[in-house]
Amino acid sequence: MMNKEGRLAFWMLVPSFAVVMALVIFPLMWNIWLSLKPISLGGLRGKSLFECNLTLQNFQKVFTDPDFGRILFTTLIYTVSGSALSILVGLMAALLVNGKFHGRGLLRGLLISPYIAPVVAVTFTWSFILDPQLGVLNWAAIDNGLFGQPIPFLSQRWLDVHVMGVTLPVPLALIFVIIFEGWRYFPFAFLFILARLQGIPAELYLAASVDGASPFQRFYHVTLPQLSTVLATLFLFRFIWTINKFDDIFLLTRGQAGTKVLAIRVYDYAFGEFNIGASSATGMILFGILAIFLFVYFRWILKSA
Amino acid sequence: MKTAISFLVLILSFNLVCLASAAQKKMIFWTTEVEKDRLEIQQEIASQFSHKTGIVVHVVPVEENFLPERVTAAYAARSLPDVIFHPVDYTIGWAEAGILDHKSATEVVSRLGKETFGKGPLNLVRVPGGYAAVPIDGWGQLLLYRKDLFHKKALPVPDKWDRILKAAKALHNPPQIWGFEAATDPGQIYMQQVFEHLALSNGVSLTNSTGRVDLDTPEMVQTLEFYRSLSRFTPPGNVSWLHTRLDYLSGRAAMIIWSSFILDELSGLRKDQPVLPDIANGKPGFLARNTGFVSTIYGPRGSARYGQMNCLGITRDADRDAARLWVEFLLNDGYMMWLNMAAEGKLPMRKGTRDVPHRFIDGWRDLELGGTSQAKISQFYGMAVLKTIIAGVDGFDRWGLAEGKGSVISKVYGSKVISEILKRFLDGELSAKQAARVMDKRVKALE
Repeated sequence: MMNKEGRLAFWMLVPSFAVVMALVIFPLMWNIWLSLKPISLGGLRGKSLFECNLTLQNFQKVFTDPDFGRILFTTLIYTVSGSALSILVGLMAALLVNGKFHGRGLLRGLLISPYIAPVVAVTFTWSFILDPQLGVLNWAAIDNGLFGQPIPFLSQRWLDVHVMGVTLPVPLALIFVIIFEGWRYFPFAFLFILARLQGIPAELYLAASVDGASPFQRFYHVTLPQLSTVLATLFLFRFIWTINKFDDIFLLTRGQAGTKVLAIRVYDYAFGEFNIGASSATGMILFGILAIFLFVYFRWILKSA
Repeated sequence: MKTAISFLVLILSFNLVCLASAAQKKMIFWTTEVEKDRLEIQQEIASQFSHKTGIVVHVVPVEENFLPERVTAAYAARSLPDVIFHPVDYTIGWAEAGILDHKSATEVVSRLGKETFGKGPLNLVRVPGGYAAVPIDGWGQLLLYRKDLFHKKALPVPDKWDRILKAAKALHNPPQIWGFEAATDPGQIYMQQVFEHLALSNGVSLTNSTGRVDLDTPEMVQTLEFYRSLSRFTPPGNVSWLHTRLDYLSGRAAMIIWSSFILDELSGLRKDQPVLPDIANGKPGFLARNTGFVSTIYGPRGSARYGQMNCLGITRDADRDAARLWVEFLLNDGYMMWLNMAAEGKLPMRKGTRDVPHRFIDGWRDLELGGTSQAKISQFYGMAVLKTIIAGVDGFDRWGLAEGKGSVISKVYGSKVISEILKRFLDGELSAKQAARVMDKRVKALE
């Protein structure tokens, strides 16, 4: 028999349990159900929605799509580099404003701005700046003789770069979408890292200086180990959010020019081809990839901790 | 405490007001005419309608690019609006999915009189057992060219492929002027529209003579090669409708393909769209006078006039009687006001009434550019241009719609798959033959 306090605890858990059921578990189950049914736009209503005619043909369709491999690869590249870049820039920004100087508060505030600005506004500004015809970047570069002709940063898939006699094709649009991701989300990493930096006791640096450590050694042997947990957690968060990212890429390139990721494919299936089943199946694949990643990550984190 | 009480009173009284007005019949109308001045006109039509019938129409603007997802979501949520104003690209697909109620639409068409509509327009919305939706307006796609520059180099009217190419080559002098600005932004339907026009002009339809989807043809390969040749005279990057219009109006493009909506901006009567050649020459109307229009393009193996038609669809969730009344009102008493929103891009698909068969066509001729510019199309551009444009009331050439492939076309337009492959071809990733094969395969997969 549970005591009074225990029962009360249960009752207090009910609201959050209900919320999780309604907003997480039920949509997930519903998505699994939809992904296993041959369902198009017309099937969104009516009895066929609840019929038990389960099949794997949606997954077959998604996996046999000739572009699937490339989209998956793009998704992984985008997610890993986008997350890493945002953390790297965040780290640099945090180190920059960690010390005391005039106007520090103002600068910190300014550094947050990409994160709080509305996504539609910033994507519009970026595409305007990067536009080959109307953009200021191309104009300035051509005016100064940097480029011979305008470069369509967001709409060209490959750019041949000549480095020391070797010609390398570079995925231009993808790189700029990743740079955007790094720019837009570094403040998130910046806030976490800065908070941790402020918590590192000054004695550690003092002791290191006494031992004759150079600034780089102090960073490598004192700061970085102190930040390791927060960096690992940040990467986890950024990975989860970036792999599910839809709006940024969609607004910048609409998934064209080699920037199509799985999240955009989910949208394409549902609202372009009106194939709800295939869309749900793609969503499930995304979920599966994330689940595997989390499993590996937690195992690794638990072991190292 | 006091503020809390007065707040409560406010909410209560607001609820009472709502209850009182709920006695009136209400319906919801989704429209893709979202610009502010056009919305005001639609609200005016709606208020006249409610004055006459007592039915309140709630006009909801929906961006055309977001229409498919909004409709899908509303359909799944069982909360479709009563009437949707939408491009014909989606009509058949939605009717087949059960979103549109073709019985109501057919009833409206027969009550207004089948013979009062153009034959071509009705053909595009035909489904077994009637019509999927009611055609209301449309525009023709035009090839615009600089008559003055053509004249200087003694170039003929660019209505044939070889003439277009020759002129583009002769006039190309970037960055001062681009020979031909083709659409190269695969994220916009505009690219599909321009490409489809050229493909149709070479006899490429979505289907072959047996009625099956067939895009892997020599004509298609030829069209792709032609499009790539044109794109060499186009600025780099994703060129969308915004770029081509801007470049033409600033005198930086010798030829573009655009909808007849451009007649308004081209006139130079709009303050938000400065026309640079007019300003540079100090002569208002310079560019408009020196622009030629081609609506039918001749390819080596055919010819075509492309256009877009918009329809009023009555949904399955609609209050049928109210919705039918509203659609009939829009095509009758409210029709001239509707067309007057932007006469240059709204050709009447209903030519007249039973008693006066040419009432709306004649009325349309007297409308003004952009609705409020004080300049009639016929006066500003002359009768020849007017004739080119008004030929569209009898319908346009389109892929697959008249051949019963409307639901595939919905998906082609929705997924923009043709533009995507076309772009990959233009970027040199695929050869013309490969591109034609991939297009064929991908479109067949949508069936």
